[in-house]
Amino acid sequence: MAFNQLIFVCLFLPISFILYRVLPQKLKKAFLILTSLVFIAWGNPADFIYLIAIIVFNFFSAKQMDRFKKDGQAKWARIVLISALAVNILCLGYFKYLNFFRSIFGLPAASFGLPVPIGISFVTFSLISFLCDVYRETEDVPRFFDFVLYITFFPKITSGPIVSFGEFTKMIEEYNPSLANVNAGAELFIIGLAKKTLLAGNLSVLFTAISTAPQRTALEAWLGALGYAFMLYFDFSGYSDMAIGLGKMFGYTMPKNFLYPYTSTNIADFWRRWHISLGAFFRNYVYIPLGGNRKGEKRQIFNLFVVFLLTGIWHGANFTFIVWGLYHFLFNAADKLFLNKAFKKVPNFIRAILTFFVVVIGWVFFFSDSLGDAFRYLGNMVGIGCGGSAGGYYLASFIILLLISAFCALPIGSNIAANLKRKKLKYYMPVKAVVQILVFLLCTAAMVSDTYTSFLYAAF
Amino acid sequence: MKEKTTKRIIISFITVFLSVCIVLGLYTLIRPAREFSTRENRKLASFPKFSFSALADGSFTDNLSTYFNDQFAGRDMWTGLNLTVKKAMGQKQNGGVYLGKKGQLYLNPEAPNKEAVAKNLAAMNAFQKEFKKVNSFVCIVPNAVTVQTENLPKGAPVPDQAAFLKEIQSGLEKQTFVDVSDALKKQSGEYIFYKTDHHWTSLGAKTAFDVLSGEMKLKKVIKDYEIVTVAEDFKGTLASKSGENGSKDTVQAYLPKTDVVYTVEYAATREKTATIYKTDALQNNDKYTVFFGGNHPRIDINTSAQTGRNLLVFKDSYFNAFAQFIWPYFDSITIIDPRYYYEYAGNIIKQENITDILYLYNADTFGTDTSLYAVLEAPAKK
Repeated sequence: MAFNQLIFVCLFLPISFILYRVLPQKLKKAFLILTSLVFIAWGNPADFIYLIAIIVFNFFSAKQMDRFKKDGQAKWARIVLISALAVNILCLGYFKYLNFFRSIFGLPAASFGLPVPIGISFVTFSLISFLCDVYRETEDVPRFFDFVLYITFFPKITSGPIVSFGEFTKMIEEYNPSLANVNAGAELFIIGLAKKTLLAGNLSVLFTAISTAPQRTALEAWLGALGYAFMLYFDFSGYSDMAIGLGKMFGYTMPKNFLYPYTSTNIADFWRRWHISLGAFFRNYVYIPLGGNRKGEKRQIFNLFVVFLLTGIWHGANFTFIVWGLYHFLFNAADKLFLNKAFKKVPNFIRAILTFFVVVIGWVFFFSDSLGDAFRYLGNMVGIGCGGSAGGYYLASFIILLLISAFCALPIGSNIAANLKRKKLKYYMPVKAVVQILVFLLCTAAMVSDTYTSFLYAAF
Repeated sequence: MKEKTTKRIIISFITVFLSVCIVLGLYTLIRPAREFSTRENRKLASFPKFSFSALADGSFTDNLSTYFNDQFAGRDMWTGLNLTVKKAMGQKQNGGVYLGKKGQLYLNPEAPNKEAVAKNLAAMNAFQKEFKKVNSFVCIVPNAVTVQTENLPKGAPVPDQAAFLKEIQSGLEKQTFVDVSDALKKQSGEYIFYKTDHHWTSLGAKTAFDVLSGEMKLKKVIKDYEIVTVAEDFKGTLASKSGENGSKDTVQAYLPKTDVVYTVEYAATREKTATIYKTDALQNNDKYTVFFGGNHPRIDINTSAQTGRNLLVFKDSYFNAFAQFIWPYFDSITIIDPRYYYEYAGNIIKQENITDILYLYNADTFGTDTSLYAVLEAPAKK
């Protein structure tokens, strides 16, 4: 079940929320676990079995590791850690990358006994974070049901944010079901839904039309790439907003996952603003353990290389993602070595525009099916191998949407809202509430239309 | 603002938000299910049957989601609202349909499947070689999107159908390619394509017939027709596909003024009638099915024309409206729709004493057809 499905918004969410509010405090956590399990089993009951197995395995591995540590058998604790990490990574590799490796060696795709489990990339990272935090003794082994909630918590299981185990412990400690939190959560949910259904949904029409056309002009290629940049941002950050909003409605505050990434002034800045929880994961569990920036410049560059290679691989089993990751590595390294110095006196907004340009070029690798396609598309963007004449049509049809997208990708709107709020205007709150409900109705229209199909075949 | 007022606004907001959700959700579940959507022109999902095996393999929840979407309260109103918003933002297409000026909708044809086209052309050439004495005519009709372009959104990308037709023409051996593009373009100010449907109107079919009748050397071509309007509220497939529901079309029948009489026999059902029109079909959503009631594997028309010519037609639905013009000039017409007919058409040539063959398709279907070659290839000799 996805958050932008009617059955989720109109049945699952209101019913589970209302029951959660009326249940006595003692039962709330158990109910939340139950709700999460129903959410998971809804899409595919088999996922449920995989999850329970992997949860039990990791929990008892952590217990054992903890026991060895307390008994002073550090070596054995390390062995348990490494083998448990290996099991998790092998599971992820099996489902996500097996066919990629088979295709490299020219083997046909294998079919799995199980469907690929729900949110496996996110679940595996949560488990790695858990094992590492317990091993480093920054966190205690939790109670079993708290651990189950950590992994299955339905707002984050399918698409993140990747909450580290430490953050989760904090989230439980700071549990706050106040009305203000419910309000903020519902607001964020509607904002996320609007980003996903109204902006990303319509931008995908533009991107699909241009990327699947047999030929395109340079203008079309740019419109397509720009459309994709906005679509991906609104799709992913919209989904994260919905997840964080839902968490807040149930009293749990998860960390932010996006912070206006298209205003970044360099690529390192971009990665502090785009998919923040993934960047944090790699920083805490890969970059810093490898030595971070403490072992000299050469080692730091190497560490960055590893992190961005993994970032690329994590996004999908295809060379295009690896190239995309390495592309970001190159700009990161160049920033560290000389670009930052060179651009020191350049005004921020120009740096932001240049960074955005670099990011958009990177997305071409990200969205292309193969490296060949990516280079052909990049060629189109500079006028090589172009054809057709529909640039004007797409510009006229989508300019309003692109302008709205640009406005929403910048912090202008939220700054205005914050200013109005500070002035404590009498009508601010009620007007905002009404606008949000209206936006929600438009989202509903978009969700219904997503399922619009007409039966045409028999008519021909 | 006072804290109390703030609290009141927050409570109202949350209450309204959740109420809208749950009222829509529960109403969708309890109200009687609709079976058919006129707007989308399709059957809607019915409530899934529960079984433990369906629950275990996930199909129950899947079907329940589909049911919920299909039966969602105010579904047509919501899709209409969404389209209004899209149009307000300047979008000129929806669901693969261009939203033209004056309520005209255009199907944007898929790019031709080159392999399939080559395969069909090769089969057509081989068929001609096998039956050398038969005269073959090939008429591929360009679609509204390349003919009636006045109302097309400015600069909308459309395939180059002129080039596609040239390709077909040059690929044919010993068959007459009949190009009706110019004739249709000359008439583009007239009502030759439906506004809300992907078919041509009877007038469009007549325009093509006027060209074809010359090429086929038909004699004593009838000039007088009785024109009967059979429907004025036709909302065709493009209206369904795009959700744009504003315009209506008029369907007309052209009855040639002639003494020739005919019978129509549908091979699959053995039904025999004295007319190509099916007036009961006017009760349906799709009023274009007034011609023959839609597509059939094989239809046989026998006439009192006594011209000594017998015609074999391979066609898509564009022929259905075209039939009303061509029947008086042949003793018999055998109409094959290769998408539903699975026998070797060569047998018909001998059985029916065929003198002429007509391939009549619209460019969109012909570019994507994967069935024509199959009826033209003789089954392997044992």
